[in-house]
Amino acid sequence: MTRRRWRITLLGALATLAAVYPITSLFVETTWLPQAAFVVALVAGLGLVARGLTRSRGLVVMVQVLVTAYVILARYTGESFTLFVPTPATLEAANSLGLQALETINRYSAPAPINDGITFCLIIAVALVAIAVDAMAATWRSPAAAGLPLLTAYLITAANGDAALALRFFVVPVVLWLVMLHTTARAQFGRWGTASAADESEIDEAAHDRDALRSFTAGALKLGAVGVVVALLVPAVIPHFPPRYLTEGLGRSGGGAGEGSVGFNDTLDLSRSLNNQDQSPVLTYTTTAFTRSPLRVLATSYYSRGQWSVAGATGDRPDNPSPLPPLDKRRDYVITVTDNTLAAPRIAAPYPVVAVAMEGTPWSIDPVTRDVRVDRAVSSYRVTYADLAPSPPELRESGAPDSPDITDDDLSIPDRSRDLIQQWSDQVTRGADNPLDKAIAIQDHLRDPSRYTYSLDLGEQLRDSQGRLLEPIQNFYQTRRGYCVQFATAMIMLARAQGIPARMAIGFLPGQLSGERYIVRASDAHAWPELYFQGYGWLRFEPTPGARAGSPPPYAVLGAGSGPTGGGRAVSETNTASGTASATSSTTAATAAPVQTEQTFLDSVGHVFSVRNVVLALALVLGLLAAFAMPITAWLLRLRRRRAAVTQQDLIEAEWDDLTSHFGDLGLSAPEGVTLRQLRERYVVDGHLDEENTTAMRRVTATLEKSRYDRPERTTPQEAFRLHHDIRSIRRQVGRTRAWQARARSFFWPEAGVSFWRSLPDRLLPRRR
Amino acid sequence: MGTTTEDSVTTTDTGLGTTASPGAGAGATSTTGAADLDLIHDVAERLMGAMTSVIEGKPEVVRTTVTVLFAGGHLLIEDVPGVGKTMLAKTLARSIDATVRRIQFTPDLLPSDVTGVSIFNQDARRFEFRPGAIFANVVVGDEINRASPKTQSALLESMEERQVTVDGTTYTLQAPFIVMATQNPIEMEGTYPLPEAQRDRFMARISMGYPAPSAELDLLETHGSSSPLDALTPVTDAETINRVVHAVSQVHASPAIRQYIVDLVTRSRSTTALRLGASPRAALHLLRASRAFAALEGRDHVIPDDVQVLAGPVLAHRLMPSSETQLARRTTAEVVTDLLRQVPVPPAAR
Repeated sequence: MTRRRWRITLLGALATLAAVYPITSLFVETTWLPQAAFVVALVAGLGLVARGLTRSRGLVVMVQVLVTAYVILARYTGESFTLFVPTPATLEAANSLGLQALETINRYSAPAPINDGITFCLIIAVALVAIAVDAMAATWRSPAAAGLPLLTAYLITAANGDAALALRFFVVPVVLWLVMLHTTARAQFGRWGTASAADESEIDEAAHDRDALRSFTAGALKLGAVGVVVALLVPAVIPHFPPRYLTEGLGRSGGGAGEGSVGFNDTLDLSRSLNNQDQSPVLTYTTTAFTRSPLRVLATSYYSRGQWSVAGATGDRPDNPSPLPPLDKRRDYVITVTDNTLAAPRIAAPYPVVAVAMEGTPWSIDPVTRDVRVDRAVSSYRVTYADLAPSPPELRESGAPDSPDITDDDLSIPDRSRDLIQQWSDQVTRGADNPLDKAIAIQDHLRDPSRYTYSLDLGEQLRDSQGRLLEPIQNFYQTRRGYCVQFATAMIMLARAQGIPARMAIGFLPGQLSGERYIVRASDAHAWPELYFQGYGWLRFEPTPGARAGSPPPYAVLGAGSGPTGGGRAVSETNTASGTASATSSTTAATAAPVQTEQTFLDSVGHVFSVRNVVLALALVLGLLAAFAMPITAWLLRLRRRRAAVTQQDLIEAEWDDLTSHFGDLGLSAPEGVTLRQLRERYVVDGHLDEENTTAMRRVTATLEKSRYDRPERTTPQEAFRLHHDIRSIRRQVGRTRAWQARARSFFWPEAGVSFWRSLPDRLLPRRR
Repeated sequence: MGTTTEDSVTTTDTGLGTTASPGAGAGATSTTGAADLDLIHDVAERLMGAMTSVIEGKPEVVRTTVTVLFAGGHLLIEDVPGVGKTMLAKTLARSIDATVRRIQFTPDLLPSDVTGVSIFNQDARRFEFRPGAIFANVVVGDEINRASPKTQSALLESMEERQVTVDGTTYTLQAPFIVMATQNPIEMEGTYPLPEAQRDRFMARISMGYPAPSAELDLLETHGSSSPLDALTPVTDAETINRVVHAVSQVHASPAIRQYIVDLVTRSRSTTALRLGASPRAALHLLRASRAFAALEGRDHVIPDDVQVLAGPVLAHRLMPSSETQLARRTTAEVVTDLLRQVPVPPAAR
């Protein structure tokens, strides 16, 4: 008895530790873990001692709560104690620790730094879980309930981490919990066993009890093991769904690490920043301009293996940035940034930078990209930038790009996608004869929401016929969904295909106005293309549709100036063979209307029969088939048996087997060695048959008895017919007396069908031995 | 009646072949394969009525006794002294108008006392056969296990073969022929337990059991003055019994029932609870007894319930428990109950 208590207590403590262990993934350091282990051990020890001293369960829990609370308070707010007694100052100290923890949790996304407040709160949480688990598992001896606090502890981590938790975090507490269940249940069943029988040396009965217990235990163990394995397998089979948050701040997916800063690593993947739910600002600023420009952090021309990276700027690098357009062609504004948390060596500023004013660190301007680089992060700086306002006619006249600013990288297209990009680009820019119109055509093509969808979820990456993953641009072309990086990349490549130098700019959208200041958050991260126009330099375009993008600059909006309105956009699609062709743009809707409707219809047909829908429909059909597999099997078997019946006796037997099998599914089993009459009595009593159906049951068994044991010719067809009706009536009534769960089980999981499949391997495979 | 001729009519309903019910009785009742249920019912009613007037509070015992009689078998009554074993045997004997002999078995009883002996007749100058106690329709063997094995075997041989061979001459016994032997449990002093082979010849073993307190009270009242046996008059005769036995053999036993019986005895041979399982003769007896029981129930076909009711009385005394069963102090009757629980009743679910 005491040994069992020891074991349960120990198991509870271990399970608690295993369940809180994943929390380590939420914080940078694990210094709190030994303290948590100490608290868990303390709670377990207190529980053991208290349970040995008193039988009052409430008292045990109270002792655990009070002593643990005292120890925790003494450890973290000990200086406020007077003569080992907490004082009002203790409460204040605890309160401030709590506030500190709250602030930390609000500010940081996982993994967050550890401080006293966090440790304090963590230890309290661990203590609560430990007390709850110990109370349920050991004090109240119902370890099943202890699963709830364990699950809570586990879910805290699962809900706050940014990635799925490793399987071991799940397996260990679950296995410990199951062992707890097993230990307690065994002890309880052991008590059921007739101890008196063993005393009276009734060997067989004691052995019988032991056997029964053993088989029961074995069954339970098997079930537990299967449950764990299924729990491990199911996540591997079903796809991983992107996280959805009910409210902001609950699920914090990791973007920037520590201190809420946003870093740009070498592979420029913005999705983590875009997914970032951290609401703490990256920077705030005021500007003298009326229109807000995006804040650029860096630009790069180097695209390789489907990724933009800042490395690999090749070729000759000029010593100084090329001069800006003269003052009459631009307007200068000043932006004042405060509370900057962007990691060095980057700072964010609108493009192009004219002058920088900052204190405390040397800075430089990259001659090619005009990125501002700093040696150390600064919290505030001021940047003067130019607003280039070229007019579309001027740009149309700008002529062929020829400048030392342009490198080969600015025109390179990935070989794998070259053909596609060229074809795509030619289609999109058909009818446009100058770089600006081509650029606008590309931009508007990409911004058309009927063609492309803005989504942070890129879906599964497609593969080509050889099974290789598609180049990201090809992938985008196929899936037609993506976020700013995909749209910007597409525009850059399409422009390069037309001979327009283009590069990738990464930075932030202008942010939200709060009072007089703009606040930029991590989720404002953005990417856009810059195209080179001779005499004007790199100009921003905005191919990304949707709310999470900037608006196109004035020169990139059609009709802003004189010019061939729509000339660059009258794109008539001819490539419809693949079914992915899109409709014409809205400006030519009138002329292309008939074609459009047809294509839309074809489109919609194609859409209905798209691979995804077909797969979904197939999955649905398969799922339904799987759900109804057993009933259908049982029904087919029944049908086959009826068909195979030669004599009236066969038919009667089939009916009866059908009934006994159905009753077996409803929990009215027919043990072996039971005669018809005994079975009839069982059905009448346990099936709660009314008088009418009892008579019917008697008729049924009488007929069956006659058919089985009397001379075959004596059973009349009338009797067989009545048997059919009697059985139906009995079935109905017995069904009504069962709970709906039993009825559902008997419908979806009929033993007749299940046993067919279960015995299938035996029938198909040659029998061994 | 009572001839020793060989004009027996063999009934072969199942091919298992009960022997012969000779004489006119058989011919008179034979119908188109169906058993004469009315006759059986009538005789059974009268017999049981008569017997229950003497053996009070034991309807099952009486019923089994009549079943064995109708099935043409022999009955072993085993119980402690004084519970009415002999009374039961005598009651049945007295109820039938037939020749009745009673043999009190003692250790010094000789085989020839049972079977008969050839005596040299001085006048006729030849050996004459003087029939022993076995030459009767109803033989009551009292305390059979007190006799020496030699004498026991003399009785048992004639039980099975229904004939006696003395000095090379075979004498056929009369029909009906039923031996009702009583014995004390083997633990009692001065007994020679019946060998397995000989126990096997009894169709069924019953034990009386103590009467219920109320029945015992009645018993003290009525038996005080005079024996109720004295008031008993025969309610049927040997010829009728012959007809009944023949009628019983016409009761239909379907293939499923025969399969069930075979399953039962087969399982008894393989179970670890038994050292010796049931013999083919046991199967035969079980079928015959089941037929008789079905007829008593007013049915002309056997159902598994009949087999289950009779499996205990018919099988238990033939089985030898394994040492585990003995250690667990389980009787063979309990083992039979287990067998009934394990063996599926045909037709089993496919």
